Amino acid sequence: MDIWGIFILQPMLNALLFLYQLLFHNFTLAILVFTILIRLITYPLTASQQKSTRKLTELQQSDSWKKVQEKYKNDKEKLAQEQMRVYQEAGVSPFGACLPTLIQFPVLIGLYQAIQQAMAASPVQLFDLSRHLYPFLPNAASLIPIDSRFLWLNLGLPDQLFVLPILVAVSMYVQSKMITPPGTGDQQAAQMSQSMTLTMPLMFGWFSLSFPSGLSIYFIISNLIGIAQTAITQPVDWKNVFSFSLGPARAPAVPAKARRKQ
Amino acid sequence: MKRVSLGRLGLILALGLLLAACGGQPPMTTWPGLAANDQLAFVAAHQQLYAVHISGDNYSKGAWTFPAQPDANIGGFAASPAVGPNVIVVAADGPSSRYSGAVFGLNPENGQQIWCLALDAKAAGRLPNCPAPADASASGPTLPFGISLATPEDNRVTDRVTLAGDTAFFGLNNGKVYAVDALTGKTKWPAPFQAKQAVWAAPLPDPDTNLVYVGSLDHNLYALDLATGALKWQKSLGAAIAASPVLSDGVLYVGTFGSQVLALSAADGSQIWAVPTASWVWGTPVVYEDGLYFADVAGNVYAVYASTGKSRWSAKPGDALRAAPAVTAEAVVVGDRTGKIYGLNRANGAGLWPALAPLKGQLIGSPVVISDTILVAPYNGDNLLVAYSLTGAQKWAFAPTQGK
Repeated sequence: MDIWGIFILQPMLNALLFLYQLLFHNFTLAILVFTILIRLITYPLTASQQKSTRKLTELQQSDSWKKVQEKYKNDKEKLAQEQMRVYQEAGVSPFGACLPTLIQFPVLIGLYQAIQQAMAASPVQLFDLSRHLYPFLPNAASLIPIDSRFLWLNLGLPDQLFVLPILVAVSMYVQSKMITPPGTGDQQAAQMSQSMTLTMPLMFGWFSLSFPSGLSIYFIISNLIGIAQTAITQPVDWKNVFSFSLGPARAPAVPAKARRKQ
Repeated sequence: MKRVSLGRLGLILALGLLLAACGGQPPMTTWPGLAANDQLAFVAAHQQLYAVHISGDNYSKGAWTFPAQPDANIGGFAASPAVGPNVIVVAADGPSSRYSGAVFGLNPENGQQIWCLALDAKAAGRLPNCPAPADASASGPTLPFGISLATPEDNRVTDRVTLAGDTAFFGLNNGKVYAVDALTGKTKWPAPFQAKQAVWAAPLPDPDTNLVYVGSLDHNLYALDLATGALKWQKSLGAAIAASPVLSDGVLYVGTFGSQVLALSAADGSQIWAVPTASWVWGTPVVYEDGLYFADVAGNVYAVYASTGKSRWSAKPGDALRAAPAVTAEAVVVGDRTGKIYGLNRANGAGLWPALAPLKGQLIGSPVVISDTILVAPYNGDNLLVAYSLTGAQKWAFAPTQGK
């Protein structure tokens, strides 16, 4: 078995099946609890990423940043040098938000794969699952196959009523809108960012039309947790979140506390 | 500032749904099904059933395909067909992601459709001359754009269709088991039998006892009345049963995901013996003379005495083994997940053949031995069918473009 299987997929898969066993053989409940646990474990990384994004956004809205942009708008090389200088002076790393995201990425992919494999909707997937089970997982044989019925859904098949794909798209849109930095003066970049905010949720909604419902449920839970985390840890301009705009976003309303500091 | 109205957003979503409904090629979610008679091998793969000559001057050449061209309404083929002298019975999945399912009776000579049975009432309308039985799953009321208000049932046949006389038997992913007239496609039981979970294993009919034995992923082995489908007895084996049992001298031998093979009385299901294995036993055990041969997914091959379950030998030739071995007078032949095929000495489990180069793809389906030829159908390989001699030498291979 490869390194990915041993260190990422196999522990997650077996933990998920263990939760399924504990949680009354309800796979939706197991996905919910497992996603919350993973989000809690990776919370320090998420918080660090959000903090870096916030600092970067504040810096890019500052007067010194705008002055540099204006002064060197016709000299890209000099502009880049000056931007780096401003970053250094402010003690902000432009890549501060990237590293935590990169570390979280394998975890999220592993989680996705674990859910897909645990559902083992097809014989080939079940064959793969058989090779990843820990021999010491108690009563593993009695757990297979996973009970895939939940409400009107067969968790191994796409939702024929399209309820889940729509919820995936909407929840992802709200989450994306909450974490997308507001416009910084660069109209093109802002438009691209806003376009992604709309395109990505539509794309995932589209994928969910053919994904097993269990995966769609994971996406929705994950998005809702992301929304809750963001709402708790940073000020959110809800009016901006629920405005459907392809243009650059408005700068968020400055919280009263921050305004007093100014 | 340019703004997108709610109406426009709704339009984008509606467009997405509409485009998704157009669908694409269904993914292969299981390995190819394989069956053969003296002249032809039948490979159920992708969106067609391929008939390939295995003897005569045209060996290794395609004979016919069903349907002649892939048909989205018929969908994919994966379950091994049942091959009779006058009819081949094969199951198709139905349109991608709906799995409405249909079963066809074909002329073995030319692949022409003799009959069709839709397993979903709605699918019956999409296939010509393909009625659905009265008890077929109904998809419920349908809204514009084909939106159904009921969860569709998964009507796929996973393993294979079996024949006993003029009756074909098959189990579905939704737990139903059907008996149909192999020559007309008419259902024979008053209602299909319903297991609690999917029936992947092919039903095993026994005209001597008038019973049909059905293993289910719900952990039970069921014995049904051959004529009516009524339940005669059932036995919980504590773990999923994904392959049919084998019957010999009044004893059923069955492997389970509980990592054991059991010998049960065919009359009432009482246990005679059980032998533990290192991992799940997915394939049907094979009885040959006084021996019983089977493999587990950890890659072990076992030979035990059929009467007592006492071990004769065990061997681990390669990687994971999903399928039942093929057994000849000399050899026990298995194909593994990495595409390697092995011949083991039937007497002691020692390797008979030199190491063979692996085929592209995985050997997850059971090998089939016809006369002096071993046939395998790799999953995700370059070839649909590969033929070996009984000494392990590759004879020929068939790829889908040949003979078309």
